[in-house]
This record gives sequence, structure tokens and C-alpha cells, in this order.
Amino acid sequence: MGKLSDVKLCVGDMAVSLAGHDGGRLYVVVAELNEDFVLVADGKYRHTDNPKQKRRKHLKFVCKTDAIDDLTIAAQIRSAEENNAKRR
Amino acid sequence: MITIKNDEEIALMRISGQIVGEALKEAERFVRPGITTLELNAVVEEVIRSHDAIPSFKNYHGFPAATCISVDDVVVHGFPSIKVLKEGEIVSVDVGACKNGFHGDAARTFAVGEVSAAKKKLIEVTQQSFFEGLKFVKEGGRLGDVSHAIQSYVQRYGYGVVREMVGHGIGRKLHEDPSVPNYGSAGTGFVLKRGYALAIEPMITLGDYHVKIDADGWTCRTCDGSPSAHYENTVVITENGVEILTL
Repeated sequence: MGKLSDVKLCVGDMAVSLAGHDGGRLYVVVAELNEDFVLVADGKYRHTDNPKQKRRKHLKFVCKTDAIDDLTIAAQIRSAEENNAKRR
Repeated sequence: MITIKNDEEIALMRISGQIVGEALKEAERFVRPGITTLELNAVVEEVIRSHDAIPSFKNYHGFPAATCISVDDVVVHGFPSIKVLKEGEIVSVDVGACKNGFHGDAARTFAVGEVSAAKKKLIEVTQQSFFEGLKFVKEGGRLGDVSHAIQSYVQRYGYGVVREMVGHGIGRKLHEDPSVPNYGSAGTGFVLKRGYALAIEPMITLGDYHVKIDADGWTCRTCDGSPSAHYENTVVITENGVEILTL
């Protein structure tokens, strides 16, 4: 069974926060700042016009999305959370 | 942390590996047009349980079945279902078994009936790429050499190497360190040591390498809908070189 790789996050990737007060929360990458940092949004508390800066190493790739606006980002995150809840 | 297996642990892993190998051979006998992937799953689970082993995948982070069965554009982690296999499709069967506390993990891609020449070639190249990588699995070698060998062999044929999914270390846990990507640069990565057990698994696509994950959170399929093949074995580095446990 293949394992999800620690691939370099790029715009549109959904990722889970591994560290910080928001640990466990899902975000979508909206911009790549540099080798260490990306900007993320969740469409609810963090909007795309005011994204949060996160270190790449504090995020883990979950899946690719085609979300670019707050509404779609929030919807895709909600859907991922619901799926996760069902599996548990 | 990468765990090093001693001779006794390797002997136990050999048993798990043999069970996985046997289950895959049994699955191959049953792959034909008209069978459902759920039936294939039952065949594999039966073999695993007949050896008093436990299917490693069942309930692993919530995975619902004993095997991952992935048809055509599904790369890995497909759920067994009532889907009937049709002539011309290719199906990847990924099996894991745990016995005496140690896991074995392997996968094969089978042709369902007669398949197109392109799909046949994809299966062959995927299988051969594993053995190309295996040439570099030795004590003192670098993990990047293994990855690079797989990638360069596959790309010679114009196929895509999936980035999002990688191979892994294996032992008491199904997924252990290190990650074993199927792409990379030669001369980089961990130095391989005696006692390392790895599941090396090239996941190769006929078209673009990008993949997406379905809403079920598991099923990983190619973005462009192109077919994909998967070949995996659990190997261990011993004093006599590398040994494949799941053939």
C-alpha cells in the first residue's frame, strides 16, 4: 500500500497543519512564498485576501484540489472533514 | 526512525512475505472478465486468513477492505466493489498481510483478458522498473540511486512517475521510515544498511503523472484519466545482498 509522499506543496494542494495552535486544521495552499513558506487559507477563518503564512514543514499534503476562491476552498475542506469523520 | 531488522525478525518477515506472494498468485488465477473486485478481495482475504495471518490493510486508517483493487485510471487505494471487471481493463491488486507481528506488502497489475499493446507494455515497464531500482538496493548504496534508476527507466518510455505516492519502510508497522520515492537524484538520500526492509513500489501512468484523490479520501486516480500500473515487493537487505520476500 503506497504512502502519501512529502512532496513539495504547490498552489491548490490541501494540507493539514501539523504544528501550531491550529494543529490538525485543513488548509488550501493559495501561494508559494519561497522554499520554506507558503500562504494558506481555509475560506472560513482565513480568507484568500488575508492568507496565513505557514512553514512547509508544518504542513502535510492531503490531496489536490481545484479550489481558488473562499467558497470552494471552504466547501472542499468541509467535504474532506466529513469524509474523514465517516471513516472514523 | 528507520528500524533495522535482525536475522530472527527477517525470518518472520519472510513468512509474512510468502503469504502475500501466495495471495497474489491466487488473485492472478481469478482475474478474468466477469469477476467483481469484491470477489477478488474475498479470494485474497481467504488465503491470508488460512495462514492465521491478518490482512494489514483492513481498518488501516479506516481502509475498509483486505486489498486495494485499482482498475485502469485508479493508481492505488481503490476500494473493492461490485464493479465487474471487463475485457481490456488492467487491474492492480495490492495485498498486505501481518503474521507474528510483521507485515508483508506487495502489488501486481494484471491484464483482464486481452488488453491493448499499450497497456501490456505499461505493465511490463512498471514491473521491470522495480528490478531496475532493485539493482541499487545494497548495503552502502543510496536511496536516491534506487529512485533515480526507477524514474530514468520509466521516463525512457515516456511514461509518468507518480509523485504523490511513494514506497516505504516496512516491519512491525505497515508504513515505516524511510519514504521510498520512485523519482529522485542519484547519489542522494539515506545510505542503505543491512537489516533495512523496504516496500519498493513504482506507480506508473501511461500519460501525465499528476493524480487526484476522490471524495472517499482514498481512491487515487490519474488526473487525465490515463491507465496506470503498480508493481511492488517487500525487500530486505541481508549480508548476502538483497532478498525479495514477496515473490
